Amino acid sequence: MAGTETLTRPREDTALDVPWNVVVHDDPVNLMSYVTWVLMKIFGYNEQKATLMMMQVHQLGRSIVWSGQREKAEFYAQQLQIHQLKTSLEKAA
Amino acid sequence: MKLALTAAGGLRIEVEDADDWTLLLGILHDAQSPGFDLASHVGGVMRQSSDWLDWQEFVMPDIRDGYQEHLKVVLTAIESGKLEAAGGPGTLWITRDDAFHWYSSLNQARLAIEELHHFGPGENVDPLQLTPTRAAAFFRSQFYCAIQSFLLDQGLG
Repeated sequence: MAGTETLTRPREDTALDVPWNVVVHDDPVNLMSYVTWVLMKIFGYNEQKATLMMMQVHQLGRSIVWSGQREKAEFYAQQLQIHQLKTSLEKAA
Repeated sequence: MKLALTAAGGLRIEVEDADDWTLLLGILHDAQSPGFDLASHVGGVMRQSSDWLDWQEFVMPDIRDGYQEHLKVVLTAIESGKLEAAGGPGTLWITRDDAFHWYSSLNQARLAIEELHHFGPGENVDPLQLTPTRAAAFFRSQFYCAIQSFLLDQGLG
C-alpha cells in the first residue's frame, strides 16, 4: 500500500461558559459591619451594595456576592475564607 | 485594662497588671483551641461541591497559613509589649497596619469559643447559669468582641 495519509478533521465545539456563583453564608459570630467591610474590600463594592448583600446573608442565610469566570470565583472564595466568611462556590443555574 | 482609640486610626491598650497580659495571650490560646479547624469551619459549606477534595488539598493549607500569619503578628506584639513592661503595667499599640491581623485573631478566638461552647447570640446568654469555665469563655468572647468593635469603628485600617 503506497503511503498512507492521515486526515484530520477539525471539529469546533463551542460551549458557553456557565458562570460560577460565589456564595457567602451566615455565621452569627461575624459582626455585620465586618461582613460589609470585607465585601467592600475584596470586591470594591460601594457601601450601599455591600450592606444590601450583608443583610441578605443575615436575613436569608446566604447571598450570591459575585458571579463570573470559575478561576476568579475560586480566587474570591479563597479571599473570603481567609477573611473568615463561610463561602461556597456553585454553578449558576 | 483600658482601651482607647488613637488619632492615627489605631487602638491603645493600657495594660494594668500581669493578669491583663495573661488575658491578652488568651486570644492566642482560644484561637488555637484543640479540636477546632477554622479553615474547615469556613470552607465546610463547599462539601457538596465536586471541587471539595481539591479545595481541601490545595487551597485550605494556604488559608490556614494566612490565619497563622495573623496570629503571629498579634503574638509578637503582645510578647514584645509584655517584655518591655517587664510583665507589669504597660501600653500596647495596635496600628492601622496591624488592625486587620488583630481583628482576624480575635475573630479566630471567638469562632473557636462559639464552636466549643455554642453560646449563640450573646444577648440570650445568662452568665450566672453557666459553669465557671463556660462563663469565663463567654466573658472572654464578649471582651474580644468589644475590641473588634473598636477596630471596626476605626475603619480596620
